[in-house]
Amino acid sequence: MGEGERALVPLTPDAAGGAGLEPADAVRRATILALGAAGLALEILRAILERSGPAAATVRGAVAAAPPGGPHGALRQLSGAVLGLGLEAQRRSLDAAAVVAGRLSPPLRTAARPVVAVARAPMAAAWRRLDLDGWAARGLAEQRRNQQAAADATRALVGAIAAAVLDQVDLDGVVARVDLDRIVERLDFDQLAARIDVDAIAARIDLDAVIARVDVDAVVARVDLPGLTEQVMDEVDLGEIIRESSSTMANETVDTLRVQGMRADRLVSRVVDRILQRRDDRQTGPAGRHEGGTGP
Amino acid sequence: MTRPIRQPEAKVLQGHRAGFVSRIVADAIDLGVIWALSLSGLLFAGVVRYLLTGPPYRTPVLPSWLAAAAGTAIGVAYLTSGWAATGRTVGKQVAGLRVTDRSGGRLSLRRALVRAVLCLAFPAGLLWILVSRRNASVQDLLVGTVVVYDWSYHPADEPSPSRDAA
Repeated sequence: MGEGERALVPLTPDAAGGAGLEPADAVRRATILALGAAGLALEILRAILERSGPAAATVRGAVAAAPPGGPHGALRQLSGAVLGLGLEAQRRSLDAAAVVAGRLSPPLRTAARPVVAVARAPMAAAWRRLDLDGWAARGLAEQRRNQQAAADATRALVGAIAAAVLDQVDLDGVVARVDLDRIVERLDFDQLAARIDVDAIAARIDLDAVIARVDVDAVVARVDLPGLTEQVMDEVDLGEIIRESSSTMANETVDTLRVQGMRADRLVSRVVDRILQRRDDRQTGPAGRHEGGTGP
Repeated sequence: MTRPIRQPEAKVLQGHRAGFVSRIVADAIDLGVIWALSLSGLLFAGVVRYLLTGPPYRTPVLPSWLAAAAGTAIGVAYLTSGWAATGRTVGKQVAGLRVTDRSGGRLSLRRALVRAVLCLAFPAGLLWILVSRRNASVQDLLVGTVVVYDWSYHPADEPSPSRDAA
C-alpha cells in the first residue's frame, strides 16, 4: 500500500516544475485533474440522488440486493478499483514508453520486445495478484487526492477570475449610475405593508419591558406642565363658563321673582281699587297712560 | 349688555310705575342689607379694638340711641348712594325697580338724600302706594320721584328707558 499512497504526480505547481513540465508529467497531471473533476461531479450527483428522496427510491430499489455496505458503497469500491488499476497501468505504460522512446533502436523486434515484456509483466502481475480490495483502496485514495487537487485548482481559478473581474469593474461608477428614485418608484410599498403582519410583530413586543425602560420622571421633567396648563386654561376660559352658568341660574331666579312681584302688584292694586270702588284703572304708565290700556 | 326680557308681560310693563308688593320686597331686602352692613360695622369695630387693646375679642355693645343713630346713618348713606348713582339699591336691583325723577332722569344727590331720610324716618309712607292712583308713596309725593319697573342695564350717563318712553 506504500506505493499506492504515493502521489503519482506532485500536486503543487512548484513541485511540478511549472512551465518545464515533461510531456509524460503533463499527461499525468491532466489525467489527475480530469479524474478529480469527474470524481467531484460523481460525488455531487450522488449527493443529489441521496437528497432527492422518492425520486431516488427506484434507483435504490434496483440495487436492493446489493451486498452489505449499500449499493453506493459497492459501486464506489468497484469504480475505485477500476480507477486504481487504470492509473497504475497508465503509469507503467508511460514509463515503458519513455524507455522505448529513449532507445529508439531500428530493429522493430528489438523495440517491440521490451514493450511486450513490459506490457506483459503488469498484466501477469495483475492477474496473479488480483487483490480487488487493495486496488480499490489505492484507487479511492488516488481519487480523493485527485478530487482535492481539482477542487483546489478550481477554487484558485475562480478566485483569480473574480479578483480580475473586480479589478476591472468600477463599483463606485456602477453605484453612481443606479437611479435609486426609479427603483423606489417601482416598489409597491402598499403591497409590502400588506404583507407585514403587524399583529404578530406587536404580539412579540414585550411592552412591560419597554415601559420599564422608560424614565417617566425624565419625560415629565422635560414637559412644560405649567405652560401647558396655562395654554389649556386660556383655551377653555373657565371663568367665562362659570360666569355664564351661574348668571343664567341667577337670572332665571330673579326673573321669576320679578314677574311674581309684578303680578302681586296688580292683584293688590285691583283688590284695593275694588274696595275703594274705583271704576277707572290706575295711571302707572310712563306717560300717565292707564295700566289697563297697556297691561295684559 | 342688556339682557333680553323673555316674559311678554314683563316686557310690556317696563317703565311702568311699580306696585306695592314689589317695592315692599325691595325695601325688605334693602333693610336686610342695611342690617348686614351695620353688623359688619360692629364686627369691624370689634376687630379694630382687639388689634389695639388685645384679647379677648368682644363685639361692641352700643347704647340704643347710638345704635339707632348709627344704623340710620348707614341706611341713609346706603340708600342715597344707590339712588343717586344708578337709581337702584340691591333690593331694587333684585326686584327689577329703579328710582327716577318724574321725567325719568337720575336723582340728584340732594333729592336722593332727602328721600332716604324720609323713607327711614317714616316707613309707613309706603302704604300710600296702595291707595295712590299713580302708585306713589308719601316720599315720592314729597320729593317728586317715581319708582318704575326697569330690568334693563344702562350706565348712569345713559337715559333710562322710562325717559325714552316718556
